[in-house]
Amino acid sequence: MEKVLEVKDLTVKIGEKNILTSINLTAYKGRVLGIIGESGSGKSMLCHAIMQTLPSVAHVSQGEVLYLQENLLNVSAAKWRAYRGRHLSMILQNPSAAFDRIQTIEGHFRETLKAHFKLTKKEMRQIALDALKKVHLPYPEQLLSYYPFQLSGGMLQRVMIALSLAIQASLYIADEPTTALDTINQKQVLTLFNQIRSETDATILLVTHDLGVIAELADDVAVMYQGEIIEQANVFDFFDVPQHPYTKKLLQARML
Amino acid sequence: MTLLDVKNIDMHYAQRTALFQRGAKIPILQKVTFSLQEGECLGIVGQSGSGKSTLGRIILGIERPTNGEIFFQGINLYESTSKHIKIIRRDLQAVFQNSYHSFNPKQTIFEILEEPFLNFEHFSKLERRQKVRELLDCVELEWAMAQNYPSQLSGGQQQRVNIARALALKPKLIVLDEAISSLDMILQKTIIELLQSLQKELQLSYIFISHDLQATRFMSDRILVMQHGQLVEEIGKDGTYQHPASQELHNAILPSHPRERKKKDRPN
Repeated sequence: MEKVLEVKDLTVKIGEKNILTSINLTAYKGRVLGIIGESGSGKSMLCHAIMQTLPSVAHVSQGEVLYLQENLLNVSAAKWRAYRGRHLSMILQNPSAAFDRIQTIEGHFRETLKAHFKLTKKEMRQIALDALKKVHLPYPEQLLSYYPFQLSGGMLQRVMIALSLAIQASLYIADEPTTALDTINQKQVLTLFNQIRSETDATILLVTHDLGVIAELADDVAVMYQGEIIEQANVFDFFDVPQHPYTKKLLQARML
Repeated sequence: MTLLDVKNIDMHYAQRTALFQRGAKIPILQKVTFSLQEGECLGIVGQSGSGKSTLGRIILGIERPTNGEIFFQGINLYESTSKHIKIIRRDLQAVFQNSYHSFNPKQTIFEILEEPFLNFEHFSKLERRQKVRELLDCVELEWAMAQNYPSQLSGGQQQRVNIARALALKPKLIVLDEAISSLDMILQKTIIELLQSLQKELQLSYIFISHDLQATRFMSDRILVMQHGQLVEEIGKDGTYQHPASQELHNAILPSHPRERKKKDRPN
């Protein structure tokens, strides 16, 4: 298996306090790595550390983030611009806050595509239409002229995924992508991720607090607790032979 | 005994097409009828936009329906005088999804929990203190927390304060509108267990509104399924259903183990 993302001994601090403590993780090509943990365990901080979008009070004190063997922490800002949103794409929790409310959906596609490719308007429109069709959104032509507030949360989340599809990202970092959605939309979005993974061989880092999401989609699982990875396993081993007491507690919280 | 009787509720919003111009009426609820027994937990499930929350707000008296009647303990909520309503108000409480926005951020937890008593009871300062202490006890929070502000509490703690506030006046019915949806799994389970033990202890009735069929099943005696503003089906104790809307909600339940992945995708 090809390693796409490797996090080695990563520590993030705010002041003197450890927010993340020596995190080690590996995500493989075409696989979904699920990261599960309760609120406040540092899951989102980890995503931001990988994307280097940490809040200004936080800093990486040690460790490496390797994307295809290249340490992202040493990459120049200009090069990062080419990576971020081109190869590494982030899907955020709150779709209604992630869009520019005075831009149409087509505007969002144009802006994203322009940042990385030289294309004509017509080409951009075609790519956008294809991407919207891939995420099973109805009436893509009309949709392009809509503003974000005219779409539901579930639709916006699929538009966000379509944006990543349009630039053919190879690593998706999805931070609680379905938490703000109802169960039916959640199922659709997860099915979509599964489809993207099998069609494009993309790697997905799926951050969630929901065991159901892990059971549905993940191939490997890492458990975060108080800023540390306390257990990492294949998804079947994770459910069948949990090691850490916290993992056991987590599994007991399932309702059925 | 019947606690709540909802009869033929219709709700329309007028769509505004241009400034000062009223457009077509959009039906949000159509002919919604059901009743709730004392001590019962009734689940209401449906996709977002199906009208669940509007129904909840109408039951709480926050929004007036276009047509229809609601009787709470035999009193018509929308025809009684405000004096009557005030008596009902204390028996009818709510817990909403966004726990933080349900508080005044400038009040301490003590002030938040004291407020129902200031509005409805004539307690001395000492008595109020005692009551707030009991409430915090009831939802398993420390007394020391009373001095904190909502922003200093975690989501789960905030939701417990919300429940405590709803319990303050010993209500008969609590409307739980997506009350556990924003919590993580361990907290969801804790809060559900808390709600269930409180229900037994205080003979409460609940209306549990959620988009999550699994959690609703766990919590409720009966489940009403909503779609496009209408009640389409009642799922009883045996858990059988026929309507496509129920089927869709059922299909959306995520597996509890990766082995069940494929099986779930097939119908039934």
